[in-house]
Amino acid sequence: MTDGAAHRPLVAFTALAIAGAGLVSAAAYFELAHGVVSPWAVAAGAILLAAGLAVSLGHLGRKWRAGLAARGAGRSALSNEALLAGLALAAAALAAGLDAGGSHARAATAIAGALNAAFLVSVGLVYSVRGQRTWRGFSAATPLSGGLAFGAIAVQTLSVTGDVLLGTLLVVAADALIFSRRWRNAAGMALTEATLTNSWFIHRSPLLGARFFLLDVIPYFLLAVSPAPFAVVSAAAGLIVDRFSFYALAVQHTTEHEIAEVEAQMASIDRPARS
Amino acid sequence: MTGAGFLLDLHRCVGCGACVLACRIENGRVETAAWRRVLALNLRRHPAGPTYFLSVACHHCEEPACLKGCPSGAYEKRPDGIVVHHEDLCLGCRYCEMTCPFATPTYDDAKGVMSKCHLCAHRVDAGRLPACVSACPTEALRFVAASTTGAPIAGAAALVPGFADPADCGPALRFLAPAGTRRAELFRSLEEALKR
Repeated sequence: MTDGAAHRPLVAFTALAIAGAGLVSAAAYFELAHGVVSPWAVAAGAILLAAGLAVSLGHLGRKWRAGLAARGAGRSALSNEALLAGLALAAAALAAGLDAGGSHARAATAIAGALNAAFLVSVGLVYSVRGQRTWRGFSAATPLSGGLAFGAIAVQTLSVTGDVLLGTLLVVAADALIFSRRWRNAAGMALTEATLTNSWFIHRSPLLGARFFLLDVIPYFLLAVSPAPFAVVSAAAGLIVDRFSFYALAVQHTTEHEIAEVEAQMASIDRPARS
Repeated sequence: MTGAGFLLDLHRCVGCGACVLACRIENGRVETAAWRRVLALNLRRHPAGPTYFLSVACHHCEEPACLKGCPSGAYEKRPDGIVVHHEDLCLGCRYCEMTCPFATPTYDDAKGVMSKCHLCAHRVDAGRLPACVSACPTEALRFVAASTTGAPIAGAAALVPGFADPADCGPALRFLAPAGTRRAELFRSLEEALKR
């Protein structure tokens, strides 16, 4: 799948769902590790995740068959993701509902955080397919690391008063490290007929660089100096660029590409002597 | 048991496209994306390599990535190895297109579902050859029926320059290398050079 229009609902779905699940997971972490309760983050996370799931229907050719997506549970990574998305949303909605009703439950937030983190892992696994050249290796970890980084930046900036917590800086630094490996892998790929089939591929470094600075570098330094709401805006923009670049830079293995690469290599092969 | 599949004789295939046309007519795919395509290797005739054609469609893999990835169970591998797609179960999520290392399933915009070659299962069940095989004027494309012995086809290769299996799906497509002194020599030297 290389046409951009087909990717739009996926960019919107994954950006919203990763942001939402990241918020819920980060809220659980801050509550369990630092005692910072952020009911708004759990509620906002649930709303974002629900919005993402609604948008994801736009990607389906037969929307009313969406329920069939559960049939492949245990076998298909996509079914696992769909099921975990449902569970994560239900748990986050329950935790947010308890908060709204004035009966905050630490266990409910913890379960919601764990399920949302599991959902983030499942998003990465969906795209860990061997036929895709730019989705290998560290790409599978970026939904988890990026989602947690966004969530941690948002909760730290909007809920924590006082010092910046070391955990937040570590989560952002871990995402920067993981993403830099993905960036290095993509930047190291040769410009061949196969990779150039994708018109975005030639712009891969500016695109991935923008994501790196918006989601990791700028918020990190803003947090290190003084937490400011702009850090959240920057991280959100970074997450959108992350998802856009993920799909825009897809390079699928095909027999056409394989042939093009063999033909390119022929140029460097000595012509065998005529016997 | 080895499943049903195709055998392509690279020496005989002249790239005429009769297989593509036959597939389109048989399966009513005249105005939609073709399930089979004929790809040329070294059509510009670089002297270091042979020129040949690869007629490819769904490879009815041993371990189909489409089947494994499909969330709705729209794919089925029959006992004879043919991988069929059930439109009535398809969500149109296009995940099979991403997971297939040959990008074989195609999206049908009008129907909102995926589709792919089913090895003319309706013809095979009736004891006939698939349309593409039946139409091949040089008998370069052949049908290999499911075998209980699992014996390999003599002289057939699973991979040739220009055809790789990066996901280890085990495509049920075998190749006979180009024959003739010069072409065979170029083919062998290309294979060896690519191995290096």
